[in-house]
Amino acid sequence: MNETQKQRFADALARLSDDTELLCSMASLVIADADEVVARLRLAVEQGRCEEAARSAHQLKGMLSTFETGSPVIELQELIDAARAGDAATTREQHQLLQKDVQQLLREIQNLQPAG
Amino acid sequence: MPTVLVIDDDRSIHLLIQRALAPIAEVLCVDRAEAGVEAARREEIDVVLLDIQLPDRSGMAVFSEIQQHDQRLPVIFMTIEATSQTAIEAMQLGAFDYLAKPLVVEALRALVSRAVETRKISCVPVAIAADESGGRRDGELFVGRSGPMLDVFKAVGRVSKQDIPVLIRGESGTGKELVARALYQYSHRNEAPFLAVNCAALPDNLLESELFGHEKGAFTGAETRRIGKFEQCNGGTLFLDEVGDMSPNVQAKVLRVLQEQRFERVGGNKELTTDVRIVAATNQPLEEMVKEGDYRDDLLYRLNGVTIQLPPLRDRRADVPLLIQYFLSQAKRELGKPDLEGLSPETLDLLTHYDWPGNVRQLRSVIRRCVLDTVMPVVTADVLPPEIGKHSERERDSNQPTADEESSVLATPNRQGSGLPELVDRLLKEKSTNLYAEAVEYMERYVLVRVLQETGGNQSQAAEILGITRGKLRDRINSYGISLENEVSIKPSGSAPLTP
Repeated sequence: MNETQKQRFADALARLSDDTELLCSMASLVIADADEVVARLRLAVEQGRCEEAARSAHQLKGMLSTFETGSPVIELQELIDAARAGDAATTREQHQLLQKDVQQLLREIQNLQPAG
Repeated sequence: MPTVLVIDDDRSIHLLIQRALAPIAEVLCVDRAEAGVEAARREEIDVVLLDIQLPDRSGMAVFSEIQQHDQRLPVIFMTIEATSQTAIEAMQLGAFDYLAKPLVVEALRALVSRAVETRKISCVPVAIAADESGGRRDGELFVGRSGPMLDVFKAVGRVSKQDIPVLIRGESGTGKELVARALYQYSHRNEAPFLAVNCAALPDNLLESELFGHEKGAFTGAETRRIGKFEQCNGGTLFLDEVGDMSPNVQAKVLRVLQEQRFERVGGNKELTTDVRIVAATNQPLEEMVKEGDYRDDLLYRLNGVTIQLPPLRDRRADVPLLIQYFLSQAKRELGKPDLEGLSPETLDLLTHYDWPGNVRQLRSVIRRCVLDTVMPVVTADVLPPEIGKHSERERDSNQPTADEESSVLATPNRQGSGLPELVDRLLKEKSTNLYAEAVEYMERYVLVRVLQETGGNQSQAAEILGITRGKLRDRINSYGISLENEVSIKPSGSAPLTP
């Protein structure tokens, strides 16, 4: 983990008592599982299956929150709320707004993975 | 090493918890509800960390299943959606605690350590069982079998059927009104009314009106005639609590009722007669007040036909376990805690050896608070208010400042009397069961010292400014240790005098 990454994920490291190795190991697990959850969320949103969308978004929020508690994690909650309310249109709209930021955060997490 | 079961579908959370708890526990992780319930049944688990939303079932449902298997197993909920609603629901269900994600290693470790400790102590045998029938003693007014209480019961038996006034004396919280009710219940007057008036709770003019009634137009605001307690209670028993707190005028009128059973309403000319038995109670030194001219000696002699002295709880420790059982069973029923099994031996020991300055009332309040606060079937020492827990430490090391001393220093009003918010915050944090009384005491001490300083220690002037009787003022001066020698001050033990 380089200094820039340590600064970027300073809050996450503080929660983990500055255990950089733990954060990087968690990053590996999250990256390994996130693709499937992101895909499940996308499909559910496209098909208007709000219940499944809420469940997948909740799972994704849990994974990402270890690393980031601000945007896009906050906005994920808005998607979850809309999906739970059965509002497929707002869920879709929220999902579109979020995709780019979620992908960006996932890339940053991916870069935390231990080398090799 | 204790074993912690983690039920969460996020593998990274498994890793985090395993790493965080490695120094203190074995960690067993599963990602499905079904597997979690199975593990809780099969393995020897000490603490469960449970995600509130699982793929195959809700965490709440899993919790219920685990509880059915082992009620003493502490379950800590985890969730990313930390809302007040989920927190309240989880705690209502009986969760040990609630953790918001993202998890913080230090907080997680501390909470799990506490849960492990609770698991350990809640597995000890119950010292006092919260038997539901223990709280039901139909028709029985008192709990106690100690010598001092047997003397009280005998005295009640001796005088209840005699139509003479009775003066009940004892510290606050010892049950003076209960004795008054017992005297009434076993008297010939038990079909007639029993009314109670707290003489300290009303200003003098209102007390007079409350006791004797008033005529329309007797004073500003007296728009209709009002019937007083002596009239309402004709044929019955009137309980005058805090009977030392009456103005000379009211004392004279009460004396007349005692002598002649006659009185007039405030603002009225018509003489009325009544047949009331008076039972009075006080914690004030009425004899001293008589010597100082603040209380009528003839009234004291009339009230004092028979005196029943109630012992403080510290003088009848043998009754503490009985009272605990009674209050525990009562709280179990009234607060809806059917799973409550009882009290651990350590808790019983601490409660039995505590001095109980607030007597039975304080004990009842502490038991109810403990029952409310405990999430385990057994009430353990960690839910006791700090002053009771610290009591045992005090015995172990008498050189340490006591809880009361620490408390009295903080509770001593500072120069501006501005320590009230700090005091209230501290008491809330300590889960005090006596917050109102302690806050009022703080305010009262400040006001008394400030006014006495203003009058140069002149008690008559101070009583007039304060709008209370000299007897009441003297009582408070003694209670709060206010020194009037050179400069009006409060001297808390072990600290320098503080002036307001």
